[in-house]
Amino acid sequence: MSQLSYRRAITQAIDEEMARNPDVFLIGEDVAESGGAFGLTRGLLARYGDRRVRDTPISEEAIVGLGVGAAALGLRPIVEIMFMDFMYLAMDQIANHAAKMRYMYGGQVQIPLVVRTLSGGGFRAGMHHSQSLESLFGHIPGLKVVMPSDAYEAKGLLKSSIRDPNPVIFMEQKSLLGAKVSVPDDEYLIPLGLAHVQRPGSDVTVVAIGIMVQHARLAAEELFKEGIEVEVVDARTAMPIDSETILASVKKTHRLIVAHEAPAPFGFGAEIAALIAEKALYYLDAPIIRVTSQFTPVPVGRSEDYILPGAKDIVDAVHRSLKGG
Amino acid sequence: MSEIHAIDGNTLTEIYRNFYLARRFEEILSDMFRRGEIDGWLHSGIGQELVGSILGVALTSQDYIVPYHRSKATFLSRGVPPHALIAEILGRQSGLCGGVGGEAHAADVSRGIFGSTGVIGAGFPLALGAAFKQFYQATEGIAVCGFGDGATTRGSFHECMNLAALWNLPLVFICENNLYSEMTPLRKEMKETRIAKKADAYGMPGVAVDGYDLDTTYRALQEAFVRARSGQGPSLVEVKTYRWHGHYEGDPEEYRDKGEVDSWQKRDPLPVLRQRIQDEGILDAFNLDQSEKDIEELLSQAVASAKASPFPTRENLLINVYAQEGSM
Ligand SMILES: Cc1ncc(C[n+]2csc(CCOP(=O)(O)OP(=O)(O)O)c2C)c(N)n1
Repeated sequence: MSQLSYRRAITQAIDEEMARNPDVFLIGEDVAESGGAFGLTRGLLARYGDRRVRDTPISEEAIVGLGVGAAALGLRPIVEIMFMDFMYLAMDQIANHAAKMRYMYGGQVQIPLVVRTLSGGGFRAGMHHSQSLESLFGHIPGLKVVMPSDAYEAKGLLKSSIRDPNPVIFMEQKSLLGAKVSVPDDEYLIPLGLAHVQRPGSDVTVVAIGIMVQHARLAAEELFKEGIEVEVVDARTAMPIDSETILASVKKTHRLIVAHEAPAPFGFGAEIAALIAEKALYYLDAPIIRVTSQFTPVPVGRSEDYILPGAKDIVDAVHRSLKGG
Repeated sequence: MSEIHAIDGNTLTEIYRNFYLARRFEEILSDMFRRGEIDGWLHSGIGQELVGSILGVALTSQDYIVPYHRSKATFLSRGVPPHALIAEILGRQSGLCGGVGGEAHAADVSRGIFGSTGVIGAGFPLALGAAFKQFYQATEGIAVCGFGDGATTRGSFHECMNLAALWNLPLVFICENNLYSEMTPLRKEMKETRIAKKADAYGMPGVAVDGYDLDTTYRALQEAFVRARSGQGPSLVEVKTYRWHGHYEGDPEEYRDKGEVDSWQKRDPLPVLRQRIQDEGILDAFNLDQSEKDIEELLSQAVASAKASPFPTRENLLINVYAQEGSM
């Protein structure tokens, strides 16, 4: 095992997959010569050369679309979009083409494309550099959406995403880039679509995704001191949803909190709540509570801290749930 | 086309004042950032203040500006009080946008400045909208869109250049070409690096000027403004310039050498303009010193007032998501 930062976990996953498969290539703004605007792709140009690691101009639609086209014809593109907020510029290529092409061509092609992008708050840079758009992409048939909650997760999930035959939106959590955890030295993969019981507990289930898993862990430690045992489930992927693991946990604890950084309406939490309403309503001892951001754009500076959810909000939600809602 | 006259003394003085204010503003902000007094990011426009300093004198109050993303000078020369801009950058309640927008998203619609955005290339269509409004209401006003070289590689550049020309809209595209897009040099952004030349493809005039030369820059901008104002349609002005600081404050700048930065700094148009104002007998050293002192005073008060302003209240962070009937 070695201590690895989230940032280096991403680099290593790309590195290993590029070494393994010559069809894997990486393009994006400032990914090559400068090693990424935030250093996530450092060293890859030197290792693989500028045929496989390429800087691009500011042309989001073109580079994602290039990835879709190349993927349809058998290559394995990794396209970096510097911030998730700029995914909107490539939306036609992602939603109308990457997601639908296999279906509309009657299965003649597959689109093994990974679009990696920094998501969420943490840089305090305001509404155009802070969004979490998982529910937008999860809503589109044909896409997978991955949100790794730490370096271990990031490495295993990115390797699986690169090998997946489908377009994957890979949301790197920008506030975790420097965070280190221990990671096996040997190769490992984490399958897409399998949630992970991060911490077992019997009193309340917290299903969290992305950065919120870290907040849920802190909240669980806090609550443990009060004698409350929280089960933290890391959803890992917003699509597909691992209903089995989530249902099993709720049937055990009878209480559910869902935590994500995006706003509540039409969000991941709404989807999980619907799942429970459809499949396990009578197991609940209290109403489901969603811990999310406010329904506003993310303001700049420290105002972000008020708009985005944190560990304290999860602690409060657990207390409310135990009181019956 | 109407004759563009040499720049008169008053105008020179005003441009100098704008320029000095913008330069000191950038320096002070950069220091504040280094001291950890600014949350988030800061993208300095130091070295590129000239265009913004001209806009304040060359445009009318009817004109709209979608500002180039580094150009604090555009805000200041347009009369935005420095304290309101600093407060916005600090995310304070007394900022231009109540402290929620910050550096990248500041606007002062009352002074015709809007469309600033964190999304490079998103300003083109917004400026098109402003120009269309001028056309639609048959005003005397025009619209101006500022952007960097990197933005011209967005698809929105193509769409908007085409539509502005096709509809003959009163829109002036001003590209501040500082030779880099973040860490990427111009030659790796595009094959044809003569940005002004691209105007040909859309059927509008394009001109490239040395952005460290006041007279040619002023003349090129004025010609484009006159053209737009007189119903002859859009044009593209490429201003060759340079940012002295990194892409963002704290940028290690591994992608360029110090000599290149030095060579531009040596040509700094600010002291040149100061000397010229003295040489032409417009103001003497005493008057210039005085006016600089006034600006220093204005800025130190602005910083103090911005810092004294509170952060937005929770209530204020939740408003303005939707407009209410009659809220404007
Ligand atoms: C659509 C989009 N893609 C990427 C970015 C990240 N980014 C911010 S500034 C910048 C470079 C812009 O270069 P240019 O337009 O030349 O202006 P400059 O920063 O050089 O002044 C990039 C790539 C962004 N803000 N928006």
